[in-house]
Amino acid sequence: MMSSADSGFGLVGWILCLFTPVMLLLGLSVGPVPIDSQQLLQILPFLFTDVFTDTTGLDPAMAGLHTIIADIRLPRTLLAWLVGAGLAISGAAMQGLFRNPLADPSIIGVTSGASLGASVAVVLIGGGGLNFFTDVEQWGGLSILVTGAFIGGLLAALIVYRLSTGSSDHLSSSQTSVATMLLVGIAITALAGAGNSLLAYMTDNETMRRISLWNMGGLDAASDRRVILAACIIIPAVLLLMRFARQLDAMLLGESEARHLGVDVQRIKWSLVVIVAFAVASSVALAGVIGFVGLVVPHMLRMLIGPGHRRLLPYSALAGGLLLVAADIVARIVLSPAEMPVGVITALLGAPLFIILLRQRRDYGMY
Amino acid sequence: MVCINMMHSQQSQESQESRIIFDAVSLNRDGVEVLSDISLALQAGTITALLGPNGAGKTSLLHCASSVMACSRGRVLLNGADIQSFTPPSLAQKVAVLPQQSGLNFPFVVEDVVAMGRYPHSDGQLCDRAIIHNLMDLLHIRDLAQRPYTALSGGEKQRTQLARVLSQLICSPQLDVYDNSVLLLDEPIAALDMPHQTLLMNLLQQLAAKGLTIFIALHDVNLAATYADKIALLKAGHLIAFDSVSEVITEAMIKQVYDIEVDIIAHPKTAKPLVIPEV
Repeated sequence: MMSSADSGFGLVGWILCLFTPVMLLLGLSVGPVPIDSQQLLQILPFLFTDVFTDTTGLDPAMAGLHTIIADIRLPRTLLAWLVGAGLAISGAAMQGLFRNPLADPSIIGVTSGASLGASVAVVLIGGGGLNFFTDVEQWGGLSILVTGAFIGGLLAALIVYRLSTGSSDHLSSSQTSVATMLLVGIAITALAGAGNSLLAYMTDNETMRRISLWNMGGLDAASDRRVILAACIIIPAVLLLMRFARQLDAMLLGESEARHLGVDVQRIKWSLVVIVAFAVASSVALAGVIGFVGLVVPHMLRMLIGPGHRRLLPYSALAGGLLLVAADIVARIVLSPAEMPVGVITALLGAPLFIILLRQRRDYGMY
Repeated sequence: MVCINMMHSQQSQESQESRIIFDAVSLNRDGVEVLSDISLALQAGTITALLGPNGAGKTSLLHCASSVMACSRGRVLLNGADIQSFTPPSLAQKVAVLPQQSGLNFPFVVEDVVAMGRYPHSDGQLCDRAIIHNLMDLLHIRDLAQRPYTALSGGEKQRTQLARVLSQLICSPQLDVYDNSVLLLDEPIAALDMPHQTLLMNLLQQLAAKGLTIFIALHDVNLAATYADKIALLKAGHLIAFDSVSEVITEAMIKQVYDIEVDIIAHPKTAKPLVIPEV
């Protein structure tokens, strides 16, 4: 299968690839303590030598900067990049599955489901005799956090999908109902909010503060462990999702049309929901609630390259990573030396776009 | 090009075969029996028209034939095997379906929509391209190839979907069809203007002559009478008649199924029955 819009890696893709290292380096150099390109070049070789500690040979004057980069900015920038990529490709995949450009994980309740799951995990760890703040940064604590978020996110995704699309033997509903989808999303978000509040009410101040910090979204908790865990989940999720490009294209025709084209619709649905829940859950558990990335990025890309998933999926991952690293840079400098939660930036960017999309929904023929 | 060797070989022998057999098919939906004990066989290389008033069960019968719905009783056989036993990919290589409406809301360009019909096959890009381009020429949508689907008129959308569905069953630019394949169409002409209706029906006749088995739900009785080899008449889920055109299109039969008085005269050129509603 080949057509003009479908052959090879296009211009947009090369631009995204080119900008990725630039943005990552920018993420390392911008902050309350500015680090210029020359200093950065001096420090870079030492970042990957001996797990961030061996600085022999580095100008002693640089050691402080090295610590800033190695301990704070590198994990943070990499986490932003991974989470942005995971959220954006998840958004693109969800929109294909729901046949609906509004299906962002944060709007339909998957993100809040995951955050409730994570909160429950926080409280459970705290209640289980473990001190959350010392133990959560260990592998065990982080894994429990991710698992809790995964269960919450998966449940939310399944409920939304179940309620907003007809069951498979009911073909009259070949489309998802936008209204139902958004309403179910609101319900789940409200439910998760209530659950979070209840948990916060029942636990001590420190846990409460932590829970509320997540809900704002923050990359400031980034650590080597978090980056490694995020990489272990999000990179495989991105690679797996990219394999569904053709099936997702066919799904856009309608569920029964996809089946007639040989797509095992039931299996695709399950696989996608599980993979997306994993990607979203790990980003919620490790970087907090960051909304709208999955809405903004695929939407802007569709305007540039069309709706074909063969390109949309990998480009979304690239552009999502770029966007979140950029948003994190902005979050670091606008209130410097204080920081803004990065979720605020993405919401400021995404919410207006969401409203514009809602106004246009008649153009999409959806009600 | 691999597709050449897929060409239809033993046409005369094949035309005796039944491609799809409905064996005492009944279907319940939400506790209502929408199809009752329907048995009929679609001969290879023929066009069978499915007629009946709104709600007679035409779409449900097509759903059974495409395995989208499992029948409550009885079974549907495709090339001798129960249709429920096919995996989605293997079924997609044999059966293409045009649903009544399509809900594509994303701005794929026309050419990409048509190209999706090639997903079940792997005959190579050159072959795919030739087939797609030829079908777009035939259905007069080549000029629209790079236009977004969402910007098309109803008739243009319909022709795009038709080209997509046909490209699923055609294996060469010369319109050869894959062996033993079946085309199911649910009201394909509703959005088409008269020249395109005729164009489509002629194209279907050509494909049937190449061995394609076509089952087509229609509202236009005269179009069915002109182009179909056989006609199946449905009313309230029951098969009222299944026979050749001249046997089925009679004043009494139309009265029984549609409950209107009609006059039937012979078509001045083809001598096929022509139904005129009484004023």
